[in-house]
Amino acid sequence: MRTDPTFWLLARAGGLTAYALLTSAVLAGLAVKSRPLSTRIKAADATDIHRFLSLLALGAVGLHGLALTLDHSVRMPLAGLVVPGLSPYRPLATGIGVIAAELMVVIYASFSLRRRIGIKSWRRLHYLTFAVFGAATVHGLAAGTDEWAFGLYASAVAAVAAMTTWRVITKGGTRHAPVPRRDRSVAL
Amino acid sequence: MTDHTARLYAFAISILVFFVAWAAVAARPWAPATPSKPDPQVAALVAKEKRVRAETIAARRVLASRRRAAALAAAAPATPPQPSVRIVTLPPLTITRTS
Amino acid sequence: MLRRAFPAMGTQVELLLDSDASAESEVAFARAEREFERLEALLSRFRPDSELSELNRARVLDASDDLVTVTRLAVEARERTGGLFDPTVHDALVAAGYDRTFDDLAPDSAAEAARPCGGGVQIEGGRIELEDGFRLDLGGIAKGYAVDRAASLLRRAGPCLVNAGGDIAGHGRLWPVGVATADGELTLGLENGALATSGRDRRRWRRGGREAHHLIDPATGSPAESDVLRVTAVAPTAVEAEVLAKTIFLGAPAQSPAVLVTADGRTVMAGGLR
Repeated sequence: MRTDPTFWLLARAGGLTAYALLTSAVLAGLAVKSRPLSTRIKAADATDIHRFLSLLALGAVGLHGLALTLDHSVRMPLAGLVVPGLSPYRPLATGIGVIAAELMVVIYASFSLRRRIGIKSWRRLHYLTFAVFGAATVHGLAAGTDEWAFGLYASAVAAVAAMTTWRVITKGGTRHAPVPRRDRSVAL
Repeated sequence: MTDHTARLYAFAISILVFFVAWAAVAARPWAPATPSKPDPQVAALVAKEKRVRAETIAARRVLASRRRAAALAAAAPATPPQPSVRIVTLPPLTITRTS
Repeated sequence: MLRRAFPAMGTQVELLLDSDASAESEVAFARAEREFERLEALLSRFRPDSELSELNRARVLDASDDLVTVTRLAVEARERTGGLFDPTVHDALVAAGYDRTFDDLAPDSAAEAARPCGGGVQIEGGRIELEDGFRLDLGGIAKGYAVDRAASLLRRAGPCLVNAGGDIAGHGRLWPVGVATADGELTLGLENGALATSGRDRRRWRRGGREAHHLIDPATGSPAESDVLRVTAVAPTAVEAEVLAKTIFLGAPAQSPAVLVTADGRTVMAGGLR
């Protein structure tokens, strides 16, 4: 019986890192659109860092899943990474994690496809990020085996809640690239 | 134009977070290492070990006292002439039982 | 064959005299019976007014000759048996549940922790001094002592046998004594000697739901755990026979004739018994 816990540890570390990155991505997405940051950072830069953090989060999620399949204490089949409920260990909790991850991939990809699906639909889809965050939190609490991390989850949820409230309240302005001056004196 | 500095920072910090998380998780590897419930076999073994240990101590004490008695009996001088007792086929006039 | 029976020392005492009825035999019987009464009043731990109880309370006592003699016999037995026989088991016995005369024992009660044995006993002249925290129980030897004393009184009237609940001394002729084996009975022919049976199959009760009996192993302070049910041992005096029966029960090798009955239903002849 393999008792080497390395992959087990990597899976947990990866999961926590993914959660931290997801939280920062969400916070970044909210913060850069609200004051005071929104008027100080270029929209393009803000979007870029928000997207990059999301990408890193996806990478960490991938590491988390890979480590779980390689670990021997939880016999996670490869298919269990994409089909929710296949895990022999706490299938409901891990299933929620699978759904959250897949949703994350979809939302990330949707950015490149936003012209195809239309801005309005894209926006609505993007709001699902909150669902992803919620599902990831539930997954971390229910399937996770690090009881000491409860404080992290609580802080993350508090931060996201606070930032969301702030965003809603301040309805931040946007710093756009300077609009090229129209010469109003041009004759019609 | 992408801000490579910002991306680099983000990447570096996420790597740092990852290693810190790994260290934190490794610091408590058995909490719990396997997702199963506390192994009932292990718990039973621990209880059995405690019991065996206590029994060993008691047994040793008993054996020591018996060894002392046997040593004394062995070291005793020639036993005095024993009263003659033999199994007979007469009907008993009285009986002995545990007193 | 003349026979007398009376209760004493928590058991039934039987006196046998192989002679014709006469004034002498009557006197002998009466003396023997009185001796039992006298010694019980002196040596019983269940009587608060006995001299033994007084000693146990006061820890120091200028005792009467009989108490001194019996205590000395007990201490010598302890030395001789390497501690297997120990009169200072009193508190351990009480802790195990034997805190009153056997007939009055409760069938079950809460368990108590075992108490240590092996306490010091100093005998100087007529003074007995007990180590602090230890009390004497002479139950393992007093009956034998009384049997020997009664027999010495009775034998003046002829060949006699004294049987106090299984502790027997016989003089003057061959006395056939029945011994219950695992699956029947055998008869030992006792001539000028004594025999006694000790075991865990009679004086037993329940404590804290578990079986307890009166043969304390001084090494543990609790009723001895043994595969043996009872032992019948032979010796020149009843005191020695009683001590021997107990120590063989606790595992001492039998170097004189003895009959052992085990818990799994076997009868073992030991010590050259044939």
